[in-house]
Amino acid sequence: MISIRTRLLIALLALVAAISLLAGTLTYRRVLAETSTLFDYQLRQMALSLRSQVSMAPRLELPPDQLDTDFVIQIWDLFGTRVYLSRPGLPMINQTVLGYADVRVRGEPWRTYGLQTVDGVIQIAQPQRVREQLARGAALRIVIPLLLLLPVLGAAIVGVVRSGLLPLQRIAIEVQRRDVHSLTPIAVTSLPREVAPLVLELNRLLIRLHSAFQAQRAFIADAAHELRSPLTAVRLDLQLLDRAPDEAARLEREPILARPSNAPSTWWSSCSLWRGTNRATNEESCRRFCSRPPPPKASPIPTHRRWRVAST
Amino acid sequence: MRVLLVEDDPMIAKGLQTALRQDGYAVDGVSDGRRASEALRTESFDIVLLDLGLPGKGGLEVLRGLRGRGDATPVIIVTARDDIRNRIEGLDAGADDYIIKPFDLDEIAARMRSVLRRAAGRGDPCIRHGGISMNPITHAVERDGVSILLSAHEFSVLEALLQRPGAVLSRAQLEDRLYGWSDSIESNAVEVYIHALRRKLGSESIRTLRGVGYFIPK
Repeated sequence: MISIRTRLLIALLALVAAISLLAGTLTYRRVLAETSTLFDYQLRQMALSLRSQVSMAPRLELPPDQLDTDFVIQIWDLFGTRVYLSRPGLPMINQTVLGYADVRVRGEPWRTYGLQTVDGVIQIAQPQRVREQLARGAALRIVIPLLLLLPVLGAAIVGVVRSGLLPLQRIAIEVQRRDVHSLTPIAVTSLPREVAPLVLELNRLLIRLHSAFQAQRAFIADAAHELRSPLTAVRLDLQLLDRAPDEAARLEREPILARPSNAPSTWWSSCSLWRGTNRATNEESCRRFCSRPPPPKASPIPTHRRWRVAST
Repeated sequence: MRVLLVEDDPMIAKGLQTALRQDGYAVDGVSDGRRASEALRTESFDIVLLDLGLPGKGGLEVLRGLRGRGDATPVIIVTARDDIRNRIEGLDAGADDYIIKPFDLDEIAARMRSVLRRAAGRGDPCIRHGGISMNPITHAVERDGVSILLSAHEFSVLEALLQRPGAVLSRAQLEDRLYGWSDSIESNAVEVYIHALRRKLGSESIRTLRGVGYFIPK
């Protein structure tokens, strides 16, 4: 039997993990796409910033700290002659496409941006490998904190579920601590609205059960009372028979249960009850009593001897 | 000893009366609560056997009325109600003992003796006074260690006088102890029993206060 708490925890934690994974994946992909856009924008801005410097291209030299940048800048004049190359050691991109383009040089993908100016064409290129590496780095820096927060979220869920189910646990403990025979209602103070109907219904059930037990007890007491009186009469009769000094005195005694006021059923039930309860009197008396013939079946039962058990 | 038996079941009442009379008690029987209250108000009994489920007026009501009047007559409840609450209620209402039906005659006799003993302020089951010793259980009587045979009525007269040595009991009071309402009383019965007792126990054992009654000297 799985508890509600375990079931809730499994469901909530699985849901949170799945949603977090999905959100992480989507965020990762989105960051990659956004970073690519930013890099494209950067390519274009660089090209625009160099537009005014094309005429000075032969003298253009990048400062030493920019030599190891990932960008490769090429400038062609109006006659198609390359007048500037920022990193001469790298493989040449001999393809000039205006605007953005993906090109492949010796198997390596590059992202380029070509800009037509009055003096020629400027091309800014960047290896896709570098772009993706930077984009992945940025995306992971965003997603990893989200993933690191997942255990914290899980712990918070466990805490919330536990505190949310505390009233149920309290009631369960109270019910467990109750005496087996206790039918007193369960306390309904400070109960959550969801549990209150259950406890109220349980209390109504306990009250009904208590009433049923009371009725049953009253029935048994009444039945016992009704049986005890004839049984007492029988016992008295038998004990007086025992006390009788001789057979003549015994015969003088009128057998109580042979009187017409006693029904055969009473006789037999009294006889069997007497057998079961009175072991002290001698066996001879018992035999003598039980060998008496029962009264005729037509014998009327007096009103005061009838069952007075009220229907409940 | 005079007993009031309050029992609505005629079979039980008859059986119990027979048994108690065999034990030497004078038994008066009533079958409803109102008549029981009336009897207790107008007459004196040594002990009352009281059923609870009575027509007219409940046994507990009768008992509360009795105790309400300050009457300390010993009462034993004899009932078929065996519930613990009924027992507590009965004893708290002023009963001296509580017996549940069906009962044993010997047990009820023993309980009656016990209650009577306590009511008389005695711990010893035997009554001893001035060389006379009588045992209510065995009905054995001794005078200076010599066993004496008494009839049931003689025993009852002696027991009544020995309950309170020095107290004078009139002839009528002694007759009350000997006979129930339904018994026929012979005119000089008490004198006959007193005479027999004096003959068996010694002439000085029972004294006469002329015109008042009989007593055993302290």
